[in-house]
Amino acid sequence: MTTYIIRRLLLMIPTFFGITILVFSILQMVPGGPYEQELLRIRSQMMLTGEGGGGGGDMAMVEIPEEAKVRLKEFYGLNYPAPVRYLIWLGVWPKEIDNHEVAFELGATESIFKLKKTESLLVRAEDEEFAVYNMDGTAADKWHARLLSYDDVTGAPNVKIYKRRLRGILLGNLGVSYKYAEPVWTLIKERIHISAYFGLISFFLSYLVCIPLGIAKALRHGSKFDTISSVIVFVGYSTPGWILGALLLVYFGGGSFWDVFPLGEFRSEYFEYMNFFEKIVDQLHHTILPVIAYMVAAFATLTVLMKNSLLENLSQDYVRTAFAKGLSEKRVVFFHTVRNSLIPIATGIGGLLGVWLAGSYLIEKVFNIQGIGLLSYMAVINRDYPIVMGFMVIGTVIRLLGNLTSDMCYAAIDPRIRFK
Amino acid sequence: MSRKTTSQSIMEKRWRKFKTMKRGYYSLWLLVSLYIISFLLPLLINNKPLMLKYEGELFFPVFQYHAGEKFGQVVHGEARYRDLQVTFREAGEGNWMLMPLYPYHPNESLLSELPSEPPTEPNGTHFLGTDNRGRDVFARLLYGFNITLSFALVVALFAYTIGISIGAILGFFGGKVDIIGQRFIEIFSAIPFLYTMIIISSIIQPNFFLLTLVMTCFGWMGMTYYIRGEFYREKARDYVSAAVSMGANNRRVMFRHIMPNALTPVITFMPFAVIAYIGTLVGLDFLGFGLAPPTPSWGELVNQGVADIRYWWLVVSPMAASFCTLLMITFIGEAIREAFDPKVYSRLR
Amino acid sequence: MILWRKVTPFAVLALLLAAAVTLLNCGGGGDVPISMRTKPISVMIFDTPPGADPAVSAELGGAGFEEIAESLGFSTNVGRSFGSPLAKKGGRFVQRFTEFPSTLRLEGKDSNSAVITAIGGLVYETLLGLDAETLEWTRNLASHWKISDDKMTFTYRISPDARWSDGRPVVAQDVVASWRLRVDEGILEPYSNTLFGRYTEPRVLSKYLVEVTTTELNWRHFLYFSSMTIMPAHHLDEISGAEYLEKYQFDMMPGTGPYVFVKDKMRKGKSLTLVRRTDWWQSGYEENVGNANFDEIKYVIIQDDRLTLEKFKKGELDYYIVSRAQWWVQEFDTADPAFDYLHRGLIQKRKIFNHRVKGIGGLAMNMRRAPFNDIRIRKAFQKLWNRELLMESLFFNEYEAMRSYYPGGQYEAPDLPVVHHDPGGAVELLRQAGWAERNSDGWLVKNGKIFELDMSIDQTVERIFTPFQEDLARVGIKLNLRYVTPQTMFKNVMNDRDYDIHYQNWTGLTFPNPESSFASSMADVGGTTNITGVKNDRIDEICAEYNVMYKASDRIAAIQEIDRILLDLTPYALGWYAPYTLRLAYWNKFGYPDSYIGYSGDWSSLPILWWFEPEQALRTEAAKKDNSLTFPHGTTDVYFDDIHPPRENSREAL
Repeated sequence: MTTYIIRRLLLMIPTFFGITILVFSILQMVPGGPYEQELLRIRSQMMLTGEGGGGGGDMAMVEIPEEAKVRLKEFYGLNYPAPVRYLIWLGVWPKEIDNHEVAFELGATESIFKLKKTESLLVRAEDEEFAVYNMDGTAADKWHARLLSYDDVTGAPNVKIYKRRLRGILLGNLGVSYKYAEPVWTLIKERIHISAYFGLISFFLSYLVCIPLGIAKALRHGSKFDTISSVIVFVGYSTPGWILGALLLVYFGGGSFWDVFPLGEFRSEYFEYMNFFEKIVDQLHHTILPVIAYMVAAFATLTVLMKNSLLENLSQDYVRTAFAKGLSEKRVVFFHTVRNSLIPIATGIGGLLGVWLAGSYLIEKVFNIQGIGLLSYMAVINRDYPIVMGFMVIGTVIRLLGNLTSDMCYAAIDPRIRFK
Repeated sequence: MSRKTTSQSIMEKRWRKFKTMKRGYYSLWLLVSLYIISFLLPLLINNKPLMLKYEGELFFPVFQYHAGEKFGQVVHGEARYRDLQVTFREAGEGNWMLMPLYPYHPNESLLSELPSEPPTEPNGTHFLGTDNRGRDVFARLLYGFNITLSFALVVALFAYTIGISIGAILGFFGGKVDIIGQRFIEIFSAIPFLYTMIIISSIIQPNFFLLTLVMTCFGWMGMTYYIRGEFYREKARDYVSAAVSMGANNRRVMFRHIMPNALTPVITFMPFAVIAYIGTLVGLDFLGFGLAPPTPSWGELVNQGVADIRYWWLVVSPMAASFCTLLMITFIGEAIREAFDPKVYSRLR
Repeated sequence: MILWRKVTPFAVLALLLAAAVTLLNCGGGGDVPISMRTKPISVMIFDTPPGADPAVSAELGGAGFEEIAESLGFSTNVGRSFGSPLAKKGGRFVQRFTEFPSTLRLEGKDSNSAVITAIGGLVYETLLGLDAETLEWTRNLASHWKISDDKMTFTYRISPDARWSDGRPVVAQDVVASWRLRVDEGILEPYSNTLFGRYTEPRVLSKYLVEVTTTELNWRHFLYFSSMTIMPAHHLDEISGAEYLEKYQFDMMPGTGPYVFVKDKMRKGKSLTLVRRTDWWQSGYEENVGNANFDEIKYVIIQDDRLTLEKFKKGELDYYIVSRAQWWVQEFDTADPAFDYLHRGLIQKRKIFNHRVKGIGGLAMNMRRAPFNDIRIRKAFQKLWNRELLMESLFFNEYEAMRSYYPGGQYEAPDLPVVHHDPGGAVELLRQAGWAERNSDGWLVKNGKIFELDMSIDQTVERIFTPFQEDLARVGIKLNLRYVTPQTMFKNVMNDRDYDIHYQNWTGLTFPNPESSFASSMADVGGTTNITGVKNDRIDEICAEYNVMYKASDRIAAIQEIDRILLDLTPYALGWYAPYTLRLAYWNKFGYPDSYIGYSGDWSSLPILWWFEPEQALRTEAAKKDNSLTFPHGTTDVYFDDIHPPRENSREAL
């Protein structure tokens, strides 16, 4: 078993690279990538903003200057070919940042570059190489210089100075969001607890309710109880969670009808002013409606799966044998069959965990919860690729581990299954 | 030769057993007949008459375009048949027409006919009211039933065939096949759905065929996990060893012996999957990758209803419709499962 | 054993739920105090004595400059306040936005969000202000200004009273640093780079005098520079443009405006709070009477429209802009007791008419190619669009048919006719254009091809266009609607000009720009607002003159002439517009000036001109619980011109 687990873990490495390369390539193919979107945004700003800010009248404003386009491309890393971009993202290839062009006078051996009002750099030509110094003559070791081109007219060299930055996923860095200019990990960290909170609560609650309900339905298969409960869970399944959420908010949120629950949000506005006891109450108060919305669909599948699986097992020979041995019904059902019926349910655990941790854009939108779902959806819409890739990595890791866990669950529940 | 007869008799036995599950049996009939009828909807729910007699001549406007002027009606373009019917009746000159049972077209805005601003509530003329630009919800719901169910069934059929086959292979052979196959599925399932839709829709306008294809490509992976698990479990059972020792080949063991026993999760999930695919169509509509307007779809109705939930009929109708579909498919699924169960009594004692 | 394991979680859960339910009842106690506790602040760390630096002479802008300004050729002008002298300071005002800004920077990449525009105007100031009615310049950070005789050089005299919120005086160097930031390529904002790259670097003449020269003769160049927000040099000079991008992503430098951004009160993704300064340098000025009254202005982020409405109804939001005609008429019905708070006057509703410039909207028709290169087809489409029916049955007669390309403001040409729905006339025009025959399916055919058009739309307007699709089908035109992403739509229409017909709305501009929208030089280049491809010699002539029309009245006459030409040319099938500026519902706890939002204000004027009425707020709060209390409904329709009859005023030089 241990060797199996180790082998599975090792196999995750090629899978991980396979997935990241695939997704990375797809992102490069999507029309209207971040660079194009940024150009469109700038153009629309030129056209649509009116007062004071401009209005974009004359020819000079129609086309975005080439130098500006180059800078934007550098920002999005598009000055590198796609494979190199992937390596940069992995963190095995340095990216050149803070690029500046320094012009030399013809024949001059050094040139001063004004970085900002209070800071300048000295670029010296040493043989065929170029080096960067601080103004006091010490070497500026963070900076590098490289010959860019010779001026068409004068023949004087143009030098590019830049810093090198090595940052990537293999170094534990998910990158920085294009839009929010903040580390992706920070953005996720700010929200993960919210989505995980709702996700895990819904996850455990639905298992806690569905397994007993499924058992009860199987034992009373075909009875009135079975039919009625089926109808109820199916009504739930046919109702999209976010629509139910919207309805619940209108009826119980206090805006139009009964004021029983708060109108969305994760916590009260003045949560930090509350004492410990009030905080718990407040949190629970805010939890109930979203959790219902999260759970409504999962109920039906789990319940019916549990029921059918148990029915299947109850018809097995070993059950008859067990009864023949004179075991009590309770013991047969709970000790023998339930255990076996949990196998298909166990299969889903890995996947479901991932889904719930990922949150749901629509439910979060309806309840105004700043969770993972909202962030990742907006990232997709805004083509914020570092966030998209970051989520992809986290999601992949969760799913890979989830699949392994499912297989472990199989083996744990059914001693006959052996993975080699 | 003899093999064939046995299998036929097994199928017959199953069918006979299936017929004894009353609710499953009736659900099947109901669903199949509704689905077949839904292809004939233009004859039942339409704003053009099936047959029209004008000045001694017979016309079949439901099949052919006729300008209003032809029937002495002062309109631009096609005749307004409901108005024309009133004219005929009042004039009493022997002109008549046979309108479909429910004389409204799903894509027809009734803005100038409605008593108040749309959406209007359900009433005797419009059984389920009208939507936010005065189209008849009942007509749209039924036309949408055909499109939606076709989509869901086609996708479910293909996705399940692929998913079951691959899952069976992985679970049955295990070892290297399983490990490598699973890695490929893991990689494949990481493809971002939304971006793929964006890429595709930037190249061609999504249509019914394309949407089913895409959904099939994205929909088959989930089932492999369950089937693979079932196969792992069943493989260890005695009857499999027995079949193998009797010299049955792999395909026969997989599909004749193990498969019938491994179908529980498939049958359980099938109804949910069908509804989930309907939900996907709703989602695609929501994201703007759905079928081109004004195609009647349930998703479009739900979206309208959610935009303003005071118009309850816009939310309730499609949701009730999908609930009934779900219930019917579930009953059918249950009956199939029991029909396939070789044990005489499938319940405790 | 197993049973026990199964039961435990249930027991725990049941206990928790029971506890929750019992506690819910005591948890809901109204914690009014926290939400009402507000106070203004001062964040001053430098203490600079008031008035001008005595070291600066009067000629260079120091004390005594006011007396000699006119002789030096400087102008000044005091703006008009629409605030009320009755206004009280205090309280909080809560505004809703749909998306948390991706940055709090006013400049640089991704800085053009609605929230930033709103906040920027309250925290920072520009060199000059603008009189909404006369469009004349007024003093702001600069107390005086001068335009050279060749109209290329502008000199500003910074008010010696002006102070940053940290207490430092505002000096000429701040203007230079603010300009330098905008031309820094590191901020990744080519728009600002280009716009401000048209000036030579501003020159500091003294502590208070600064001068800038433009490279082109155009009246807008004074407008752009005068409305540049000024940021403090003592922070800007420390950093490069690229560092600015990082450092101020979610932070703000001190400003000169009436409010400060308080970082501690920011909840990322959820809310932002501005707090009123007790030491705003302009607070005693006459143009600011009754302005900036709230102690706190809070911006909360709610994406969902329905949730926003519910939160307003519950009282968590102070006002609500009713964007849907249907809701305004049906949901916000004062006579309907179902909406109790509105019915009893706890919530008030107003429809406010003022002089804000309205935008235009309609069906842009691509005049570069068939079929819309034929003016008859364009005119036919205007007649085919049944706006009357849509306005009546979908929009509850809340809107008016658009007749002008510059509606609502000073620029609208008077007495323009409305084109009515007229399918008969349209059929005649189509016939003249060669589209007379129909095939057996009823579609118009010419040279064996049917009249078929593609139109890309997004879902929000879909319901407007399926009726149009039916109307067109009646006369034999096949319109295929298709959904595309906004990015694709933008690219097709704005860049590639690859479309037939397209629904487009434009916001109205205080200073219209006919050149970009309608000049022939803009017709065939991507990225301009001339999406329909208008090419007209007379319009080109007017545009050429327009850029050097320094007199507002000349510009108005020029635009009115363009308006008439366009109406005949029909590049758009015009749609409808709201003749008012705001459909507003608000909680009855505020005071406001008679005009509500001033001459040409909109929702962004609410936090500036309104104030909190504590007594009324308490009465309203009490009435929430006591059903017998009612308040009178004010008049719903409010017209600016009824409150302030038009003044005799010339709209002279800018």
